[in-house]
Amino acid sequence: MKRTLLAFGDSHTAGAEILERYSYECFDRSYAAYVANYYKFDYKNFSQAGCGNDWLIHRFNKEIKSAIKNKEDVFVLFNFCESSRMFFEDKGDLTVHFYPSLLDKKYYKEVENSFIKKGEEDTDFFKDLKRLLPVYEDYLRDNTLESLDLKSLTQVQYIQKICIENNIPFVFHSSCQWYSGSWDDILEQNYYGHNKKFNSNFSYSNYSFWGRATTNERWKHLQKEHRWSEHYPEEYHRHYASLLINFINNQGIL
Amino acid sequence: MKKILDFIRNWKKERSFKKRLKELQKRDPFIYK
Repeated sequence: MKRTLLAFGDSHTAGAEILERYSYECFDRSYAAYVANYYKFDYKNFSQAGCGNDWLIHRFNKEIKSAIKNKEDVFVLFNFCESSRMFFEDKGDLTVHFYPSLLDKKYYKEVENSFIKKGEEDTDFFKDLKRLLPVYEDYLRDNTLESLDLKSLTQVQYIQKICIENNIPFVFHSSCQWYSGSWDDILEQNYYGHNKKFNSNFSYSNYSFWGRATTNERWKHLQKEHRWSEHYPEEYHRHYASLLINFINNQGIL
Repeated sequence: MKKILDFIRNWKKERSFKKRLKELQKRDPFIYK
């Protein structure tokens, strides 16, 4: 049976902006697809733009249960996202994913106007966004940065535990930056850019997808290009895939 | 007096949340228009 790469992550893993705004075809050209192609694996991508780790755990549980039940040979590539993102109701593809920028009044107004412009202000999606935004604000008020990061670290450990228990090879990495807290229980050989020394001053890690794109000299030219939502072109996805492939080969994960 | 103290307490709480929110927005600059 051919092995299948199961990719979980946010917009970066989904390949947002490679082709066009909302195209699922981007899945087939994201770095996860390049990793799968390199190893000649089948490939499934469960990524979602703007989603957080809670949503990914939710999807992971569903997919991994099915893979284990069907005795599928799988490889998990998991991109952990920013710890402050959250969802409250699973409505499949129409689930609203909340992220901190939505609480910026100016940005929210732009989002609202874009729904109005498209004549979508009466859709359930927009109604859910308006209804649940105060809930998200309360969620952020009730949690410190440390508690959000601690939750994410616990989620990393959870995925690691499931993979080890079921003999599933896995590689973790991050889209933004690392989480504060103890990394002692997270396997260094499976986390690309594993970092035990968290820097409390904000800075992107040169290992994360977004971090390398914004801090590495080689990709400085991309900063000046117009991109609708700060994502990166296929050229950068190919580069990031090569970093992950080197890591997987060096660590002897497969 | 109690009202003034409550006001100051709330104002401090709000200020601290706004600061935390700014930090979160810096950590996660994701936008989706």
